[in-house]
Amino acid sequence: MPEEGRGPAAFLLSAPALVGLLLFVLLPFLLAVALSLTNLRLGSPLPLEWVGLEQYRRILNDPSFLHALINNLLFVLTVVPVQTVLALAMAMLLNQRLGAIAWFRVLFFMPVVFPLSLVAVVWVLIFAPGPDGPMNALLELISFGAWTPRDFLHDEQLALPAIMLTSIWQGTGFQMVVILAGLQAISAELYEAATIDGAGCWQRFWFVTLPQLRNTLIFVVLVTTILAFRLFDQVQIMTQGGPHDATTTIMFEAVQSAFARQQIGSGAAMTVVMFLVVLLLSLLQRRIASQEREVS
Amino acid sequence: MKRRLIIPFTYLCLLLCALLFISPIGLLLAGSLKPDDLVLVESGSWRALWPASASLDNYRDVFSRVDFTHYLLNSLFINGMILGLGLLLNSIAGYAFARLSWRGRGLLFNLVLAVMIIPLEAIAVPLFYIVSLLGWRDTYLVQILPFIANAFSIYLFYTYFIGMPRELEEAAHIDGAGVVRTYFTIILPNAKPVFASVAILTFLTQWGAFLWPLLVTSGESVRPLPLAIATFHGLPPLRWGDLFAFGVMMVLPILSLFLLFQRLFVRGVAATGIKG
Amino acid sequence: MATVEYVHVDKEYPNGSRAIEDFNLLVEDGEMMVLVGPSGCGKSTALRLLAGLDPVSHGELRIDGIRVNESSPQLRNIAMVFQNYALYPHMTVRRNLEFPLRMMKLPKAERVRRIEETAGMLGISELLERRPRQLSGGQRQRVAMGRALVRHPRVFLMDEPLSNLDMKLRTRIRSEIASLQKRLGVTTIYVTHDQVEAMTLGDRIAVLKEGKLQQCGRPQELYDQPANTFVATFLGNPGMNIFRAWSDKVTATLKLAGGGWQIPLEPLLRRKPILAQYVEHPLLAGLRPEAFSPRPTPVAKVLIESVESLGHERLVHFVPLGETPAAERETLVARLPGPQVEKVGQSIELGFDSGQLHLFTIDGKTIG
Repeated sequence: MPEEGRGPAAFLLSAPALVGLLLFVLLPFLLAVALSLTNLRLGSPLPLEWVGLEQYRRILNDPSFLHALINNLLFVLTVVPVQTVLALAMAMLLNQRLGAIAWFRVLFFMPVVFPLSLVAVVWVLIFAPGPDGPMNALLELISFGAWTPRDFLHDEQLALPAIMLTSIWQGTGFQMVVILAGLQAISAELYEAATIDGAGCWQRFWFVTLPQLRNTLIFVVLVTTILAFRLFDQVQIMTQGGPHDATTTIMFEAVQSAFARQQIGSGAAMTVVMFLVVLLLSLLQRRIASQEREVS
Repeated sequence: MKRRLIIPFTYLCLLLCALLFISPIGLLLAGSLKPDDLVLVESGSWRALWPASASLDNYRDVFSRVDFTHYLLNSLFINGMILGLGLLLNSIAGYAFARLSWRGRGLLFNLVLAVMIIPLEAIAVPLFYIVSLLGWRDTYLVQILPFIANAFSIYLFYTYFIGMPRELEEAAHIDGAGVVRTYFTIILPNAKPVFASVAILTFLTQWGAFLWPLLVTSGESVRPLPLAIATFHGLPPLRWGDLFAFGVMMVLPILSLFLLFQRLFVRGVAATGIKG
Repeated sequence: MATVEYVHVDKEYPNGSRAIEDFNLLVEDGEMMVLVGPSGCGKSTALRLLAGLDPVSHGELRIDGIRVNESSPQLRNIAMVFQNYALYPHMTVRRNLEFPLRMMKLPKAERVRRIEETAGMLGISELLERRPRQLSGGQRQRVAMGRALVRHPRVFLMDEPLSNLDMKLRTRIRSEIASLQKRLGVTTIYVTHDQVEAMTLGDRIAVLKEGKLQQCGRPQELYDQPANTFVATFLGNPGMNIFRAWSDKVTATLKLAGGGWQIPLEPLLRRKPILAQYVEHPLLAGLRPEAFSPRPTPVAKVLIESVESLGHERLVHFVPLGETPAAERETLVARLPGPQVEKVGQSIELGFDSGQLHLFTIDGKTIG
C-alpha cells in the first residue's frame, strides 16, 4: 500500500475501536488508580479528599480483604495445577487417531459454553446437604459408607474446595482445547526421530512433548491464574463469600465495598491490587516464555 | 500384547472423564423434566440422570413465574449488538494496524497490547462510577457500549491479516479498488476463520456476563439471562425443576450454536493460544 | 500503447536504505523490456514504483511523457501479474477477470465481451466458473495474465510470473508470453532473476545490481559486449570466466591466468588502442566457456578438476598450470562439445579463440 494520502483515512478507520478502548478501558483504569487515592464514598457528606495510600493501608489491615487475598492464592495454588494437569491429560488422550475421538472432544468442551451463573446454580444442587445431595451420595458410595454427609457450601473447610471443583469442571475444557492445538502443532517427525533414537513413551513425553508445549503451557497457566484472581460469579451465587469469609475473594470484597457499602475509594484500591497481581504475572510470563511467536 | 491393552485403557479413561464432565449436564437436563419435589430427592442416586415421568411442566412454570422471553430478548439484543459492532470495528482497526501505514500506528498498537491485560474486573469500580455520573445505569447502552471495542479481538484480527498475502490487496489496488472497497470485497471474504474465532470468543465471554450487569442494572427491564437465573435462584419458593428448566433454556442458544459449529468453536478457542 | 520513462528515480526507505539509485530507463512503445538481476537488486522495486504500489522518493516516472508519480494505479492504467498470481481466492475465474472491469465501471455487456475475448485468447474459456484453488499452476498463471490483459492496459508489468512453475511448463509459457506480447504489442516490463528468461524474452534487457542499472541493450549486445564483469558473469550459463591478466612491455605479450597462456599484445592493441593505457597494469580478462577448445593457439597445460557431462556436451572445470603458486590458481570452466573423454586429475592442453577475449580494468569495467 502506498503511504501517501492514506494516513488520515487509516487513522479514521481504526478510530472507533481506539476511542472505545480509551473511554472504556484506559480511562477507567487511570481513574481506578486516581480514585483509590481518595476517600470517595457515594452519597457521603464528607468532602472529597486525597488520602494518598490510606485506602491501601486500610484494606491491607482489613481481615476480610486479607482473607480474600489468601483465598485467591489458595484457589490459584490448587486450581491451576489440577486444571492444567487434567487438561493436559485429556488433551493427550484426545490427540490420538481413535474412533469417536471427536465426540469426546465435544463432550469435554461442553461445560465451557455454560454460563458460570448457570453452572453455579447446578453445583449448588450437587453440593446439597444431607445424604440425598449428589456429592455426598457419591462420596458415600466410593468410601463404602464411611463418609458422613456434610453441608459443603456452609462448611468453612469445604466451601472453598467446592467452588474450586465447580470452576475446574467449567474451565478445563478451554485449557484442554488450547493444549490440544499445541500438541497438534508438534511435528510427527520429532516423535519419529525420538523413537528411532530409542526413546520410550515416557521419554518422548518428557523430551519432546513437554519442551515443545512449553509456551502453550505457560500461556495456559497464566490465563488460568488470571481467571482465578478474577473469581466472582460462583462466589456471589453459591456462598456470598461465606461462611465467615471462607470463600470471599478480592473481587467479591471490591464489589461489597464499592456497591454494598458505596465506598468507591477502597473498592478501587482493591481492584488496583488485583490488577497489579495480573500485571506481575503477565510480565513474568513474557519473561519465561521464549521470544518466538507463532503467527497464524 | 501391550498395544492391545492400551486402546481399551484409553477408552476407559475417556469414558470416565466424559462421565465426569457430562453428568452435571445430565443432572440439569433430567431435573428440568422432573416434578419439582423429585429433583432433590432423586439427586443422590442414578435416577438423578433419568427422568422417569418426563414432562414439560417446569418449562411452563418458568414462563408463568418470570418473563423468560423478555430476558432472552435482552440477552440476544445485547449480545447481538456487541457481536455485530465489535466484529466490524475491531476487524477494521486490526486491518489498519496490520496493513495501512499511518503516523502513530506503532505507538497506538503498543497501547492496544498493553490494554489487553486489563481485565474488566480491574476497572469495574471506576467504570461503574463513570456510567453512574452519566446516568446510564439500567440501560441497554451501558451493557453494550463498553464491550464493543476489544483489544484482544483487535490483536487476533491483526495477526490474521498480517499473515495474509499482501499481493491480494496490491492486485486489488492496481485493479482500482480503494481501501474501503478492498477491505469489504477482498479481505473480508478471505478472513472467515478469524471472524468465526472472534465471534465465538466474544459470544462465550458475553453470553455469561454476570458481574457488570449485576452492578449496573437493578430492574427487570434490561437484565440479561445470567442475572435472571441468579435472581430466579433466590426467588422463593426454591423449585429446582423450574430453576433447571430455566437453565436449560438459557444455555440452549449457545449450546445449539456450539453443537452446530463445534469445529469452529474449538478452532476459535485454540486461536487464543497463538498469543503465547 | 505507451512509452515508459524512469528519470533519475531514487527509492529510499524510511530506515535510510536505498533500493534504487539514480535509475534511468526508457522503454519504447510496444517493447518487451526485461529487468534482470540477482535477488535484492531493486528490479521488483522498480516495477512496484511504476505500478504505484510504492511511492518514488526522488525523480520522475513518465508514461507517454506525462509525469505519473502522483497518479493512482488505476489512472496509470497499468496491469500487473504477480509472482504468486494473487488471484482472489473467493471469486471464480470469471469474477476475477471481471473485478478490474467493475472497478472501471464498464457496462455489463462490455464486461462480458471482454472476458470472453480474453478467455478465448488465453484458452481458459472452460475454466471461467472454477475457483483458483481448483486450477493447476499453469492455469492459475494464465488466469493471472488474463486479469491483467482484460483491462487493455497501457503497460503490462510482470513480476517473476513463471517462477512458481515447473521447468517444462515454464519453457512453454515463456514462448506463449513472447508471442502474445508481440501480437498485442503492449509495452511490457518483465522482472526476472533468470538470465535464460531474460535472454529469450527481452527485446532489450536491463541488468541491475544493488539498485543501480549496469547495462541496458539488446540481449545479443549484452552477451557480446558486456559493460562490466558483473554483466559478463551474470548472463550465460555458466557465466563468463574472469581471471587475472598482466601485459608485459618487454616481451610485448599479455599473460593470462598466471602465465598459462601468453598472447602477443600487438593485435590486441590494434583492435583496442585504448589498451595502451593499461600496459604493465593488472587487468581482468574474460572468456566465455564456449571460447575454449583443445586445438587453437594459444595452448596451455591445464589440470582437470572435474567434468560435468550433459551427453551432447561437457563442462570441464580446470586450472591453468602457469607460474602461479597452487593456492592462487583460479578455476575456470570450458564448454566442450561431445561426450566426456577427460579424466579428473589429468592434465591436457587447452586453447581459446583470442578473438573472443574480453578485457576489463581491475575494478571490472570493460576496456574499449
